[in-house]
Amino acid sequence: MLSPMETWLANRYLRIQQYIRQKKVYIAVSHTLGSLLPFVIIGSFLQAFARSALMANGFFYNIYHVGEWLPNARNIGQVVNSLSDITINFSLFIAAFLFAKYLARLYKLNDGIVGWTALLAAMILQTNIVNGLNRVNLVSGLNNNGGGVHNLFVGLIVGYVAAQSYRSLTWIAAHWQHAPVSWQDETFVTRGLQAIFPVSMILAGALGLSFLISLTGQQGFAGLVLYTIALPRWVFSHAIVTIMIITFWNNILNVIGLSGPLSPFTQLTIDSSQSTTNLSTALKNGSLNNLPYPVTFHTIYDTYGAMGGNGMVLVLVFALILFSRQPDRRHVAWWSLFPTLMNFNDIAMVGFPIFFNPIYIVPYLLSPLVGMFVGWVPIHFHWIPPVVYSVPNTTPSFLAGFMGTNGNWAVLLVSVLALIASLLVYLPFIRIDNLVWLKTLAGELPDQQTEEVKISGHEVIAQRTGPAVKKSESY
Amino acid sequence: MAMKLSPNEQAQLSKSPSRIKRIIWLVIALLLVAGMAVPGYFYQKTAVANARVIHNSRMAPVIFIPGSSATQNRFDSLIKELNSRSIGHSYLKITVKTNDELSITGKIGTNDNEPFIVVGFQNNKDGYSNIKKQARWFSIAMKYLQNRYRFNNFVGIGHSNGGLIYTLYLEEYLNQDDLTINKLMTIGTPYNLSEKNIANRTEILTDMIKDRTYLPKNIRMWSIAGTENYSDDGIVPVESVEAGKYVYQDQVKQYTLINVTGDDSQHSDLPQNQEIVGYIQQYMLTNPNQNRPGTRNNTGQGSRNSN
Repeated sequence: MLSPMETWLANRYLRIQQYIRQKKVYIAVSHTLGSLLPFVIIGSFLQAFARSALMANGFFYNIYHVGEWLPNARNIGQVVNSLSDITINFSLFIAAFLFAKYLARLYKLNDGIVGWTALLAAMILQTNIVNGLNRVNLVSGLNNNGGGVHNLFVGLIVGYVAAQSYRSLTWIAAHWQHAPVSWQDETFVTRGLQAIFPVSMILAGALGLSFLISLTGQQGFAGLVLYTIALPRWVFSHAIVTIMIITFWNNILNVIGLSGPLSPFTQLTIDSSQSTTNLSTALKNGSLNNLPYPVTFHTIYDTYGAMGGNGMVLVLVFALILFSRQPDRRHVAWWSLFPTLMNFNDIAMVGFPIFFNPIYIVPYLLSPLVGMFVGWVPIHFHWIPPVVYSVPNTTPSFLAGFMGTNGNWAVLLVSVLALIASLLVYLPFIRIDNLVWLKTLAGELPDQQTEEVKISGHEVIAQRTGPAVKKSESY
Repeated sequence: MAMKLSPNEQAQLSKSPSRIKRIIWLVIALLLVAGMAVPGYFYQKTAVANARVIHNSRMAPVIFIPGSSATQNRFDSLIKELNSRSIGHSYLKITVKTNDELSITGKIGTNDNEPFIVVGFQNNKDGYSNIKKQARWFSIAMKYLQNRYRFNNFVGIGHSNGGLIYTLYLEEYLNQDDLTINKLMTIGTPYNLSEKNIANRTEILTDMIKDRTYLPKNIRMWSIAGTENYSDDGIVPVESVEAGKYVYQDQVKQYTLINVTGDDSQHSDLPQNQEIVGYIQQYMLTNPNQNRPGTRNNTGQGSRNSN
């Protein structure tokens, strides 16, 4: 059933799974992403809806002329968008809380206190102390420094450090303080009192770090991390190899939960002077022949390398709906279909997940390169014109090329070809994923829940009383 | 949670979905895609056509705003004077009514790249609250003009409170992606109303200073003050005109303050002041004499323009 290469990959992957399923960090990350999912689904749905249908530069808003038959659309859009902000753009903090909490459960610590300490630490670190506490950077809009899903790694780091510090600080405290006096047993109160020392030390540490961060002039920890990994402007030369290398680097950052240089909100790719020159040449001549810069980030990466957000996630969503046998993957795929069409890939990143998931990291990195190559070849040989005209925000990416060339059918065809080529990259990995799931169901591979019980004596999140997975799903 | 599955169950799970269901989903998906692609296609055709017209438009009108208590006819004599020194500028007048409707007189010639347009207001009273309303009305007139005549850049001239209306418009209403203002001239504009002492900042000045970062960065700006005596032009104190520097200086590309004295330097006479008409012709007009079909190119009088 599987080709030799797939079998080889499957065996490697099975071994990786066997190994990581016993790791506390991996267990806690899985649970964190799982618990984050409802918030991300709600937030991403609202975000995609508001930005596509209720905002002046949205795709549906423009093509269905929403403003004409729904006069208040833009006001409603503002409200819906701010609702999405407090769910999805709060992910960094939720992740810090949940990750610390689940780690604490695995280490048998007081998970409530540890989780809340991590949340407070994350908030302190995102505050610019020099600029003043009133400028807390919690919901700072959809910019790079925000607490969105794309910066999840920052939350996980804070959660991890908080949990580990709490652990060692309690150990220190226990050896340093005298044993509890015999005439008083441990009570709920004494358990809380023991936490004063570690909690205050962690918060003080966060405060000190935050002060140092604000001395660098950055808005919070996430801002500093992104600033550190940011590439200098001269790197972004518009040549196919550069485009591919930067896309690759960007997507490596994505899979560990950092927004790279090509974040959809930086607009770096669209606002280049090359794009502007192309546009004014096209408007002047009235044709798309002989444009000065056929290969740019906008014509290659935006059009053929980021369908459904970075990493051609739209392709993965289609492929999972078509080929996955796992009910949970299929459900998440259906949920993420609409936001991904509008190029918001957050649900997919958290839901399948793509973050820290060895099986989807490889195609996530490869498929954009394949898609961009498929788009680049005909542009290079002047078989199709590059994308020039601006399209509304959130335009589905397989239409972006078609519309950006003012309705060139060959471009539409190439977009579909790029989609199919990336699908072929994702396909073997989905088959391996199915296989591993079947092996786990059949009991040939120890599942993660068993490992959790082995480590901490209980499942991190208790199994629900109803059946969790249907044994067979009718298609 | 591992459950032992029988080979039968395993086979069930690895079975492919039924073909009919797949085909139904495919049809639905294609319909949805068509529902996005077809309107998207037509939207884009219109959008590109519009973008092309705007991009290739060569028109850059000169748009005047009169001061308080003045109507759309305020600049008639100024424009008569300008047109006597040059040829080919058509003249359009708009009054925005209090119910946001426009009444329009005159028309713009077909080959005119630099028409004169005056925007007046039915409610032309003084006072900050009225000026705010007038700025909004002006933005309505600008939207109309832009849709009707498809220009993407213009030159602004405001007399007296007209300069305040321009400043509020530029700070609050101008969409810099759509429209560029190249040059701005305010004549006898009281940026600090009738306040002589600059230490006493009025509400309107404070607001304009607060929002000054929204001003387009590439304007070339002239502010002209008239003085009959050492302190004012009969109505506006020269200190109030000078207060404009707190709004424009270091915000825009160039800010020049000119002080005009002598004949016709009374506040209401400023637009007819020969010196100021000269400045307008020299700084604000790019095509003093335009070629129009049937008109001989006149390079005679009034070609002081260096451009």
